[in-house]
Amino acid sequence: MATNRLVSQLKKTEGDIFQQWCRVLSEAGYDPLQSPVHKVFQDLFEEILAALAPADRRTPDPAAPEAVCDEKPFEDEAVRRIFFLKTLTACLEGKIAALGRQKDSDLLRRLRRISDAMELALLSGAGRSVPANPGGTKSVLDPATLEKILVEIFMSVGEGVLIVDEDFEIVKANQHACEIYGMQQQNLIGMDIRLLTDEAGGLLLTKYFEELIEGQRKSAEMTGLYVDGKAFPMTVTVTKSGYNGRRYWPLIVRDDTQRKTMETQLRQEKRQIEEMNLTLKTVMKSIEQDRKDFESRLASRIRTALLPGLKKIEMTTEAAIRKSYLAMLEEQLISLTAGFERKLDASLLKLTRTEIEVCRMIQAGCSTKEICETMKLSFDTVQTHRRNIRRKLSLNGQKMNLHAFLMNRVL
Amino acid sequence: MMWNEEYDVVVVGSGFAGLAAAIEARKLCCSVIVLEKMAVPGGNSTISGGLVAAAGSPLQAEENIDDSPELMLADMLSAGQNYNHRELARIVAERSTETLLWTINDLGVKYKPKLSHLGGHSVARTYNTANTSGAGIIRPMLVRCREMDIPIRLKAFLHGLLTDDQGDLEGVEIREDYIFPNRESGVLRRIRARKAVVLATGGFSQDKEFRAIQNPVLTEQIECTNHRGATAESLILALRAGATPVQLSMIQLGPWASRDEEGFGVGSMFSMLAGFPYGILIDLRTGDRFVNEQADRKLLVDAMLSSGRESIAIVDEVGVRHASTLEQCLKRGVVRRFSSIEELAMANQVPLLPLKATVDAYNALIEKGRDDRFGKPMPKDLQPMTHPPYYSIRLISKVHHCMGGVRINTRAQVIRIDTNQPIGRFYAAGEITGGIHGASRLGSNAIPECLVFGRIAGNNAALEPTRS
Repeated sequence: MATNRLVSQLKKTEGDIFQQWCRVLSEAGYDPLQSPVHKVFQDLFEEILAALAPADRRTPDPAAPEAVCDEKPFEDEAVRRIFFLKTLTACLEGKIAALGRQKDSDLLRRLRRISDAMELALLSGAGRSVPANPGGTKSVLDPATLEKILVEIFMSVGEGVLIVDEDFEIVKANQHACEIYGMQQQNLIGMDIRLLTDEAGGLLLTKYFEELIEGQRKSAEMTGLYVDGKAFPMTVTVTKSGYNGRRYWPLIVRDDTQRKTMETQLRQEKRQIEEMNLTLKTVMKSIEQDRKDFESRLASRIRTALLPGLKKIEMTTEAAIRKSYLAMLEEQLISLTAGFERKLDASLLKLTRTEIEVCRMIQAGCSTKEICETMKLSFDTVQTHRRNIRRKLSLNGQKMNLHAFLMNRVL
Repeated sequence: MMWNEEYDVVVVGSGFAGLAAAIEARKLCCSVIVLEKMAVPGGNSTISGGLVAAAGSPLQAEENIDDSPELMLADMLSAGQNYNHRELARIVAERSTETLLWTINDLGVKYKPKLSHLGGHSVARTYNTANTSGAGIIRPMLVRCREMDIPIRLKAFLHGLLTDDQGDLEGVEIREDYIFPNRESGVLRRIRARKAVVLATGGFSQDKEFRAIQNPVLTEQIECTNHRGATAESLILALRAGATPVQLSMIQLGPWASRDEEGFGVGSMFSMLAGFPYGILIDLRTGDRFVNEQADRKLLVDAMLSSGRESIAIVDEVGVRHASTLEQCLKRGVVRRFSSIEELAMANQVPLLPLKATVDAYNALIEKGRDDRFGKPMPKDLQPMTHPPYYSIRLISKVHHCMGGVRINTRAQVIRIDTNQPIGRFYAAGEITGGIHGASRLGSNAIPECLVFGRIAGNNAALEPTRS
């Protein structure tokens, strides 16, 4: 086989190729004497030749480069190895050309493919791949899938989540957090967390960041600032975590506008109910007062209107006077029980005691003559009283009969 | 037609163009709404680098840099290979400084006190926000919207552009409570625009299917700097409503993006601000320079992608001072630091001797004040790379910006394809529009474009007569 011959030719000239490679390295500014590059060379060289040999026509499996880097290299280490690999590949291409095989394009293509595959393996972090399940079904806990799911959950969770680093800079923000502040992820990431709240909120966050120990959780209400400068109430829950020697503070943020509005509403309702209570108490008090007033008024009326009447009846001997007093007493008693349904009239308050007595007699249906006799007054005096009463009750010039007017009124 | 809601002006998209339109419109009419399909506002704008080009700016005056809108326009046409719709490009150049000052005086945007000189620009004319991010402009705009009572409805996906009997825009159909990217999610609602609709929905760089239809070279393997929502559905709706497509295949790749992070990241700004202007771009295989590092993006990408080249940018301790994202780059492993060129060569697998020769030759050019054979401009503050440590970034080109889009006129009205006349009550601004940048958009020209035409669109939309 032609390729076999080539491989053995290449093996024979291993020393030449190594020297050529060292020259390339030094030209690129890398000192080959600085580190043990020969071991690296041997590993790479053998691996490429093994892959190139026709006995093993498949491209190297992803696990192969593990021989080269059995420890997971750091990023820079991977870059260095890719650099070695690429320069060595170039040297091999040169050698193959020198051996007169440059026309064998298939061979060159394979060499490049092998080199590319090894580079890819190095790039993907030492080329470790997750072994597939024997049944062929993909495990849900495949780390890549799991990570994707976790990122999805982080992004779509119904609470705002921000992750803040030691510089107070937001390094991660989910969709809900973006909506709370009205900003895109690109705007939030890299932003100082303290710009999303007012001065007091900023100080509180700073305090929490300093004091919090891992595993502890603290919540606080503070002012949030929307992109258009509008302030809103928010609750921030801060925890603390560490990763790769750096500290991070995951923040859960919640817009409390709705909750606060409902709280305010509830508070308002409560206040209204309390006010109503107070009003009711006042009303009860005034009713009680009214009752007392009424009782005392009743007592005084009995004293002033009924008892003197009874006394007069007792004293008098004249049947006519007794009769008119009896009629008056009857009317008084009726008015006392029926008074609740009748209207009170403010104008009645303007009347004098004598006038009220005259009124009560008129109410009872007594004629002027009867009044004169009962009250021991002259006819003219009673007429004057009647005129004054009509004036005070604004009945002057009206056809309204005084008796009819007084019928429905409480005296 | 049954409507669920009504506003004077309905703006679709909450990036630079959309918010600028909303703010301008709200000054003139009482109800404006901004619709945004994503769960957060700001789109690509808020994750951009926050670079703003302005011709004849105060910082240029301070630094004695002679510039004019004419020079900026010439740069745009040169990079755009004259594919630009000149009258639109001219407006961007002419209003660039006025718009920059609007962001400073009206919105309170904070910029770094120094200009940057980006590739393809004749002079240093680029302002950079203090936080090296478009969020430095988007946040003040969002604050202003809140102050002006402009609601920004998130998770509202544009599902249809609704027209009246004359074909004029009358409103939009949206999916409310939409969950990106599920096109079936959300509830359909109709929002009427009593005056006009402003479409400011951005580009389609993340729409792998659509971009490959426009430019088959852009396979789905090619990464992208945009946010995930930069897709083509709103462009397709605009075309269905009669809009004229312009140069949809002109899609820009960013040459400065890092191989070691996703998207735009922090590496892009490192390359733009330090790696390219103050460092060199190296072919990994040869250790040689191969292009003017300060060329426009298209020339750079074409050179970088030719014959499977892999490249890194190198800069020394002096040049790296211009990189405002350096700390984050180092922290995330996007940029690496080396105490010597030897170490750098080793880690990056560049042949050392050719690399050393390249650095020496480049330094000699600067020291002797000679012209570079690739035509790299040699500004006064450029110094030889002789101060260790050295920094390197591994580069890969990523899809970045869609120059193409719907055609608008100078009033930001969308032009109907069959009549060549404006579609009634339909405005567009920002990356959804096409033709302004031609074949290649210069770095830091997108933000002025979005703001200038966003404001024009918002202003004109609010001036439309109100529908009964």
